[in-house]
Amino acid sequence: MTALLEMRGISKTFPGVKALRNVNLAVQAGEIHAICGENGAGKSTLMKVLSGVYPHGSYEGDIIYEGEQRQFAGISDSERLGIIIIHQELALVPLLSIAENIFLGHEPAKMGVIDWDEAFRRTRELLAKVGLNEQPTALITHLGVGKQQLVEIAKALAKKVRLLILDEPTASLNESDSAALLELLREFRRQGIASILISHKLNELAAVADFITVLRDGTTVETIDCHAEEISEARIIRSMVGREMSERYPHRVPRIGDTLFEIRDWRVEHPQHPGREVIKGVSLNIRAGEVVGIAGLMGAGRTELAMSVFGRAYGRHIAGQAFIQGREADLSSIQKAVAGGLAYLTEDRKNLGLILGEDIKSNITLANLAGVSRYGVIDDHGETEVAEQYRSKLNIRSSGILQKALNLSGGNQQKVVLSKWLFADPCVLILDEPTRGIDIGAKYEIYTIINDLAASGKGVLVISSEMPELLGICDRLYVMNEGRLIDEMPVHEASQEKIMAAIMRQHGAAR
Amino acid sequence: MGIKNLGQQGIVFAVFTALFPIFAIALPGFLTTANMLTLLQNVAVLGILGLAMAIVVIGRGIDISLIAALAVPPGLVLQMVQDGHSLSISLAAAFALSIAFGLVNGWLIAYAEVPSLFTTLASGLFLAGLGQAALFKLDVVQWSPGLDGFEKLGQGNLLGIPMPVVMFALACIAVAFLLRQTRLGAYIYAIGDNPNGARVTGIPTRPIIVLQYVMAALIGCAAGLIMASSVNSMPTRIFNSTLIYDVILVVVLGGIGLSGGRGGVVNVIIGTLLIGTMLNGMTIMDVSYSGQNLVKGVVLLIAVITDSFLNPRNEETAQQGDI
Repeated sequence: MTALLEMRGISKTFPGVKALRNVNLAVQAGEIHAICGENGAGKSTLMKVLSGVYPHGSYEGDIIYEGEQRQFAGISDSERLGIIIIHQELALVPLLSIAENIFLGHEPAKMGVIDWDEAFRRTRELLAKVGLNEQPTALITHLGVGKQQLVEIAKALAKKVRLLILDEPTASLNESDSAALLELLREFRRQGIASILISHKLNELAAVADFITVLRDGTTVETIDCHAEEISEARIIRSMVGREMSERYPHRVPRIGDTLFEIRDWRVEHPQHPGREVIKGVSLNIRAGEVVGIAGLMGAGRTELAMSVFGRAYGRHIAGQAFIQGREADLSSIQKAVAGGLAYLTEDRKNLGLILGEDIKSNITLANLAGVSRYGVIDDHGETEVAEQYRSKLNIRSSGILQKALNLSGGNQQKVVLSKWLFADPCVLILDEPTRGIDIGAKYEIYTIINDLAASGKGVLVISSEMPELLGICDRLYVMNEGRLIDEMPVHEASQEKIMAAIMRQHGAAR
Repeated sequence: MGIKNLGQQGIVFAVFTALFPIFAIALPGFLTTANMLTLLQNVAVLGILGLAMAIVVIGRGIDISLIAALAVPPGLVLQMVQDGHSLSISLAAAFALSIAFGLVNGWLIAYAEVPSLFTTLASGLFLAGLGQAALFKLDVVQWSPGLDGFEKLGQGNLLGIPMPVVMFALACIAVAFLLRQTRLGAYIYAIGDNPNGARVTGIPTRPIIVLQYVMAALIGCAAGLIMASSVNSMPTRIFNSTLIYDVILVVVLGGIGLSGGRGGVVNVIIGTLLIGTMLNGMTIMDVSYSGQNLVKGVVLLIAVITDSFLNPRNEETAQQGDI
């Protein structure tokens, strides 16, 4: 039997980062093919190449679909051939009805007038197929996430899907909704529709998948045939994380002092969905000179925790106590958090970290302009001096301090954001994905800066999706999952297997 | 980047330097001292309004209510003096009204998060209506003897330079200092370029947005006082004119991106020079009112289109957009 889809030798490079390296993937008609790997392993990038989000020419390698070489210029090209991708963030219009959403963009029409009877009739058929008992006129906003997911699938069916790609479809679903969704995939398999399933929930993969392809660092590790061997979660985890550790992290002898920062029973509600707790009673502490890591999967609530602590930059109905150097701290606004000695390096460097249109100098001094001005007037010489100082100290490679942040590489941009917070002179730094999207050399420099910070007696909290990084630079690790800290371990007792097992254990307990 | 940076203001300045000699040669009476002074005098008020608009636009907003802020508080000064109040009390009342107006605008935009375009569209109408309905007896508020001496603000001169031009120059220096040398100015640019980034850096974004509209209203009031003192009255019907388009034209044409965070006083000056020359030239050529509007409309459209090419908003920032 020839494959429905074959991706051969796919490589994709982003500025400074090789996201995919010679990846191969083959999917037969009517099979469920799971893809798993750590965050950043290249799963989503691979799917974007497949669906044409990254058009032909922006990657290397071949896509053979239905026996022909394909060169998708955009997502509409792949959709026309029945390749439908359903993203983790659903792409439904909340204030339109189910029927309107399903036929959005290709409404059944007679001479340009939408034939609603036909649309409703077909919507009813599709809803019956996916097992969703709702009226076609029901508004999306009134449906739960599980049902919305089913509407997305119905929408895919309306487009005559042959290869359905689901990116973390069950991440926000409860147990029965997840089970129903997986059953639906089995039904599709019987009808000859192939599915590619991306999921962190390894027990689900083991239950439904015919094949599991494991990606790591942008390469294919292996494709496991689930019918040929007994699949255990431990088997998949080993394949996902099994990389060797070398001298990628600078050496450091920790000198750990008293507790600098502590939060107790921290609770945060989702800003748009009141009553939905995103952070469910988190308590943690950071000591002087200590580098503490928070491990967890995407969506575990790590960024939400950090931003809610940082002056309520995220969330609402924030409850809990915070202590800085033993005294209860008022973190009710970002200004107060900064004044109290906190700094938060965002994971979203371009949108939240930098003023891209401004130069390096302005970006570095922005968080502490008072430090270079008198009576509200900026001292140009002082500002230049400060900027030059950080440029050389952090080795920011640029044409000068007047170069715009926009034109710097990722690593140098990150050093500018770091400089900004260093100049604000905090006692606790929360670094959210400090090395995301930057090359190995710059990563090492960032690790060195983190070590220096700890050596100078500051407390550092690092959030990272790269477990080896956390293991390489931290003294102590928390493991976070679904808004809770589920485990804590000193780094010498920690291992990737142990962290993943803790997360999986909780996933298992949740169902 | 080179073309983008030089781009708009360079092109506009080139157009100005091309247009000026053409007018000078082709239009009799254009290059006379008298006309040059009129030209400068006329554009001074426009330029000051342009500075107010520039502050707001750099902070990623827009202030359509500027003309009401120009007409009503100065009209109040003239009316109160006419009614027998002293000049200083009348001026204090006008400034208080301007500040209150700016605070309402700013609060609605920063805290209630109503898009600035709609907020100022409505608030401007409200203020103009308030003036015409409750404050002024006539559409044109007349000069009264209690104001004697104050007309020098509009009609006097310093070393031969007309006072409005001196005022425009002073305003340029003050606003340039504010934007380039103060923390407040740095924050306005940061907020205009990346409001969310500025917020999570710990900049008090909302109070600063409020302050922008207060400053705009106060500058508008100052421009109105200059205008009233140069014509010895406040024609409050100016609210119904197309002046606000001229102000937006100055700002956009000068090269202050509507997407925020870009441009400065130099752009206002360049925009003012070109628009001033254009309007003056058209008046000498005796182009009809509607004809002038047609020309202004075309130029504004071209400027706005050019702006969105040169300063596109990306997807993320578009979600925050007001305009």
